[in-house]
Order: sequence, then C-alpha cells, then structure tokens
Amino acid sequence: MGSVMRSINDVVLAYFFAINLVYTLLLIISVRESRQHGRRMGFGGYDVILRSPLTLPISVLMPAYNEENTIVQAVQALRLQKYGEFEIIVIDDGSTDSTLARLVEAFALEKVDRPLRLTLPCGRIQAVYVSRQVANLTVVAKENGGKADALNAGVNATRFPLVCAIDADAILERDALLRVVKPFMERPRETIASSGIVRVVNGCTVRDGTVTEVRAPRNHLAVLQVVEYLRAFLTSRTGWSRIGSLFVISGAFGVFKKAAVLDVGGYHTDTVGEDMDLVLRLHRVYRERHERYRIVFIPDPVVWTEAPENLRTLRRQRNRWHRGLLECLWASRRMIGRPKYGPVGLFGLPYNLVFEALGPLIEVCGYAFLVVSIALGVVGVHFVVLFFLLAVGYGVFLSVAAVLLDQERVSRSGSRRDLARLLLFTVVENFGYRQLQALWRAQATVDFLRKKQGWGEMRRIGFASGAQPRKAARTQSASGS
Amino acid sequence: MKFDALLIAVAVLYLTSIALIVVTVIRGSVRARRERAHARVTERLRKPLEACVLEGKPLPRVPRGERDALLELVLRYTSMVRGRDAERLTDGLVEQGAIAYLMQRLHARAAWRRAEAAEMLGRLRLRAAVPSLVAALDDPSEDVRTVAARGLAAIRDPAAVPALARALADPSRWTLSLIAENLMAMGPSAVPPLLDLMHSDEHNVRAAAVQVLGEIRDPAATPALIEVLREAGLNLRAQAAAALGKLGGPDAESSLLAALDDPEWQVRAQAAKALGRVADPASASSLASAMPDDNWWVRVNCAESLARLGAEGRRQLERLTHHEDRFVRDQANAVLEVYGVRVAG
Repeated sequence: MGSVMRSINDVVLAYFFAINLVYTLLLIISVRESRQHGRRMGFGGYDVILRSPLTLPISVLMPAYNEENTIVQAVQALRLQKYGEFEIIVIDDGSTDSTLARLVEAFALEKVDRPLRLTLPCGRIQAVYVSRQVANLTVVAKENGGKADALNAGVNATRFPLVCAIDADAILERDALLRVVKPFMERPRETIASSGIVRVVNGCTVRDGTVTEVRAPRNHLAVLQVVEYLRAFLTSRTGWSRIGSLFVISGAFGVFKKAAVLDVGGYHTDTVGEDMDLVLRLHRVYRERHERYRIVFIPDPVVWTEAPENLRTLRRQRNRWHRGLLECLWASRRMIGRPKYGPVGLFGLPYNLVFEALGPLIEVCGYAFLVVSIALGVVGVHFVVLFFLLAVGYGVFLSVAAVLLDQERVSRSGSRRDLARLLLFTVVENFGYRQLQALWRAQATVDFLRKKQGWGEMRRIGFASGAQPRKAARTQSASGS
Repeated sequence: MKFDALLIAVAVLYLTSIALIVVTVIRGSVRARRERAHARVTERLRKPLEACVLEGKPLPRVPRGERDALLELVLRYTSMVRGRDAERLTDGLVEQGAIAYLMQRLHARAAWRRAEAAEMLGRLRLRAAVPSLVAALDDPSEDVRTVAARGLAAIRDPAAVPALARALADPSRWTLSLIAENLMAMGPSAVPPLLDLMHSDEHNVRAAAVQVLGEIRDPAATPALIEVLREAGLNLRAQAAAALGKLGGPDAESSLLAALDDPEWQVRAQAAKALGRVADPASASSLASAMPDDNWWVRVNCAESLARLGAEGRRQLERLTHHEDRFVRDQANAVLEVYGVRVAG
C-alpha cells in the first residue's frame, strides 16, 4: 500500500515539475517577444497606415443578445475607432428585450429589403436595417440561434476582406483595429487571424467608451482575475504565438481574413467554445492543404472586458470555458501528436490536453492523495509543507513575472500602491482561489462527459422541435433541466 | 536527499521572485532619474538653440554625453524651419560629428538602433543622407526599410524616387503602403519612374505601381493603365480598373465600359465600381445591361454605381426592378431603398 502511494506521489511530483518547466519556457519566449515588439512600436508608422488608401478595410461584427443597456453605447464607442475604412454590423440575435428598438431609435434605423449573400448557413434573418445617420452601420435582426450563429449571419452581411468579431460588452482601445491589422498588412498572403491582449476593466475609469485611467480593482475576486489574465496573455499566449501554435483568438476581439473563415465553413454552432473551435479548424484545414499561414497574437493591450465579481458568475464562466476547451480538444482529437499538423499538433494540443484539460483532475487527485498519505504516514508532514511551499513559489514566480512584464511595457500603468496590491495577490491566489479553480474545472470535466453521453438524444430533440442552441451563456440552465 | 533538493528549490524560487521585484523597482527609479537628467539637459540647451534658430547664432557645442538631447531638440525645430536656418542647424550637427555618428548607427547590430538612426536622418531632411537611406531600403529588418522610405520621402529628393519605386517590391504590404504613401505625397514627379515599373517582371511591383498611380491621379498615367486593363493578368486587370476609376477622363471611361464584358468577374466588378466613381450619366445604360450577371459582386457594384449616376442612373435602376431575374430585381430594389434612406437622413 505504502509503495503504491509513494509512486502515485512521485507521478504527481513529476507532473508538477513538467508543467512548471513548460511555463518557464513559455515565459522566456514571451519576454523576448514582448521586448522586441515594444522596441518596434516606435517605428510603427501607424499614423500613415491610418490615412493610407491602401489599408485593408474591416467589417466589425457585434453580436448582441439582450444588451439593451449597453448596445447603443457600444456602437457609439465603436464609431470612434481610429481606423480608415470600416463598417459596423450589429447582429441582434433574437433579443427578447428592447435591444433592437434602442438601436432603431438612437441611429434612426430604417428597415430595407437588402438581400444578403448567404455563404454561411445561419438562422432565419428577419430584417436588415441601415441608418439614416451613420453610413457604415448595418443591423441584422435574426432568429435566436446563439453567438456562433449570429456571427455567421454577420459574415454573410459583410463587404470587406477582413472581419472582426467583438463582444458587445468589450471596451476597445481607440487604435485597436489599427494594431491588430498590422500583421495582415505585413504579410497579407499568409496572415489569417490576429488578436491582442485582453485585460480586466474592473476598477479602471472608462470615459466615452475608452479606458482613461488604469487602476487595480477594489473587488478581491477581480484583482485575482487581473493577475490571472496578465499571466495568461503576457506569459503564455505571446509564447504560443511565437512558436506558431496559438489557437485561442479571444472571442472578445479577433480579426480574421474573411476568405479563410468562409473556407472552413464559418463558426460551428454546436460548441460552447466557438472561437477556439474556429481557430483550430483553420489550423487543420490550412495544414491539410499544405498552405502557408499565420495566426498572430500581438502583445499589446487592445481590449478590456469586465470580470465577474461574484463567485457564482465566475464559476459559470469558468465551467463554460473549460467545457469549451474539452469540446475543442475532442473535436480535434485526430490532430493531437501528429507531426502533419505542425506545432499545433505537436505542442499546442498535447499541452492543452495534458496540462489544461487533465491538470485540474490530477491536481484534485494530488490533494486527496496527499491527505491520505499523511494520514497513513507514508510521507512526513514537513515534506508536504515544503512541497506546498514549492508549488506556491512557482505560482508566485510566474505571476510576479507577468505583472512586472506588464509594468515594464505599459506606460499607463497604475500607481505603486496598485502594483503592490497586484503583487500581494500573486501570493494570495495560491491559497483558495487556485484550488477552487481546479475544483470547478474538474466539475466541468464531469459535466462535459455527461453531456457527451446524452449528445445524440439532445440533437434529435433539437431537430424535432425546431429549437436551436441558444446563446452560450444561457445554455447551462437549459441543458441542466 | 530529496528533502534538501526541495528546500533549495523553494529557496531559489522565492529569492528569484523577490529579486525580480527589486530589479523592476530599481530599473523604474533609474529610468525616472535618467529621464529627469535628460529633461534638465534639454532645458539648459533650449535657450542657446532658440538663439541659434532665431538670431542666427552658431549651434551650441555639447559634450558627447549630451548629443542625444541635442539631436532631439534639433529634430523638434527642423520640422518648423526651412532653407538657410535649417541648413545652419544641420551644418552645426555635421561639424560636431553628430551626423557621422548617425550614419554609423545605420550599421548597428540591433535593428531598432538602425531604425532609430534612419528615422532621425529622415527627419533632419539631410540631402547628404540620401545614399545611406537608399542603401537602408535593402535592410533585412522591415522596420528599418519603412523608416528609411519615410525619411527619403520627407527629403523629397527626386533622385530617391526610382529607389523608392523599386522598394515597392517589398513583400510586406505594411512597408508597401508606407512607401506608396510617400510616393503619393511626392505627386506627379513620381509618375515617370512608376510608369517604368509597368514593364517589371514582378507581379507584386506592377500591382503596387498600378495602385499608386491610381492614388496620384495624374492623367499622364492613363494610357499605361489602359494597356494593363486590356492585356495583363486577372489581378492586374482588376487593379487597373480600380485605378482608372480614380483617374477618370473620357479615355479611362471608354476602356472601363469595354471591361464590363471582361471574361473574369473580378474585373467586371471592379470596372462597374470604377464607373460609379467616374459618375458619368452616359454610362448608365451600359451598367444597366451589365447588371444581370451571374456574380453577386458584379450585380451589387453595378447597382450601387447606378445609384451614383444621378437621375438617369436611378431611372435605369427602376427599370431593373421589373427585370425577369429575381436576383437583379432584388438588388435594384435594395439599392434604391438604401439610397432613399441615406438621402432622407
């Protein structure tokens, strides 16, 4: 019994070292990349690109479901984007509140009988509106069909070669479009998608749709997420992008080449992780066709999002994210470990499978075994304490690196007190928050496995009643019942 | 054994984290102090420099350590002064070896240092720097290339135009746009070397040249563009159609009308759009007869262009709302409707 326990503990230990080795490597790559990017910024020539007639025009898609309180502001803020030629397409995904009415009123919308080119399948489109005041605004009203379906409808209404998907509640930097379009301009043939850093807006001052002052949030849960986002974006995604296996283009803000989106059949409506799913399919299709392509992440803060400030909402969000990840991994299981699929198949997907998907399970098991081991006296308490300190130390080290990297890069960073607060929470997050995350994700894994079993049946019901999957955020309560 | 290793690892991690924080804080304060010192030097140099610009006194001499501050200050003034005053400034810099120092930095190992040097040389609008900047157009770093191109355009030396035009072959559209923008700023003087590029073997170069000629809008380019529209490959023909739409004029218009019968839809669509830009009501009937096309974008562009041709165009659109093809009817209706909304608004 003792030797079994001991070898299990060894496995957990080895796993722990492996995961932290990977994190450290990513951190090193990210630091280099981010420094290089910072130096290049000064010679960007963004001002010239802004007025150049050769700059690629962008169609911005904003799906909205029951956003009556924010939608008008969101469109107003979008109109202020510093960019040459762009159009705004708001897709009202069958809202049950007055989202559409607010838009009609604010922008003097008029219903027109404009035919849309239905290149992607999407739910029935009820009406197309154009504005008397804003020449580049189009509103598409359609049956409720979920975010992915709304985005597909939006793509059908676009005129321009680049499409940008954004969340209605995201706050963009004024030059966000200009920044993310750069990779497309640098390598127009290969670049098919790009995105930037997403940051937590809680605590910051927002005026006229832009963040004017950056502060650390008051809410403890939000501070924890600030640290988490910094770690995820600055030290992880930058690194993944550098080795060519980035497959998370944030749903809150990402630009795609329209031709590529059409090539892979648009967004899939049967997953809660539609953004990751699309990017993974882009990887697969382009690899299978042996075409050169780039999916790029720019280490610049471009978009701000509001983090949930209570545990219930946060749990729901994380549950959805983790199920999205699992669904995507399941959908692309054939790519895992295959050299044919390049760095994504060899590094990106296996990493996500072993560390992100199974990680929470192993972590939860690890805690359990540790407790049992102590009870049986297989390992000493001092060893356990030391190991825990080590785990905390690694976590703190990575988070501190991310926070400081941000501090170096962003000139608009907050006061010293804010920095101290962030640094304090890099320690705090290891006591409770981290374990909670592991638990939630383990729970999400169970949810995912349950749902997969009942998948076929659910589909049939869906077809029979003509109902379609609703907006992802609201699916859970429906699928639970 | 294992215990000791763990202990060491824990200690190392915590110490590294603390060290990182300390280093960042120290770096922050060092940077702040350096900035303050820089500001002091700038403040001290500002008076003598103003005297140099306004009263014609010689440029103040500075020790090596303050060279960057001096350069920065001079750069602030060069955007405002022209002619003799500007020359006095740059002569002063040459005398102090600052220019030689910048030229040297054009060969630095770090790309961003080279780019920085190229940028300063460009902003000083120094004729003597043209050959070095032209050479920098072949730099391996994209940033250096674009900055050099921008600098060359700012100097506006006609001798640099052929080099800039050649640089249009750059694989990056970002660079290309920046260079093209500079060529456009130079206006008609850039047209002859661009016309020479029409016979280039490289497709990218020709495509870029066609686009830039369209933006410069010098009628001298019309015959060459018409030739491209008649004879080149698909992509170039489409580009030429767009460019001719921007140039306008009777010759361009008649060739665009002919291009409405092009075998490729991309060219037909661009020609239709270009005719809307030219906005000659006489082309309405041709656009109307080109509208029943198999391709979506040709129909859309024809309809939208018709809406831009005044009363005659709208009459043709109304006629098309009775067309036998449902797609044509729908598109004509839609454009009329959208047009009505926009006019009312």
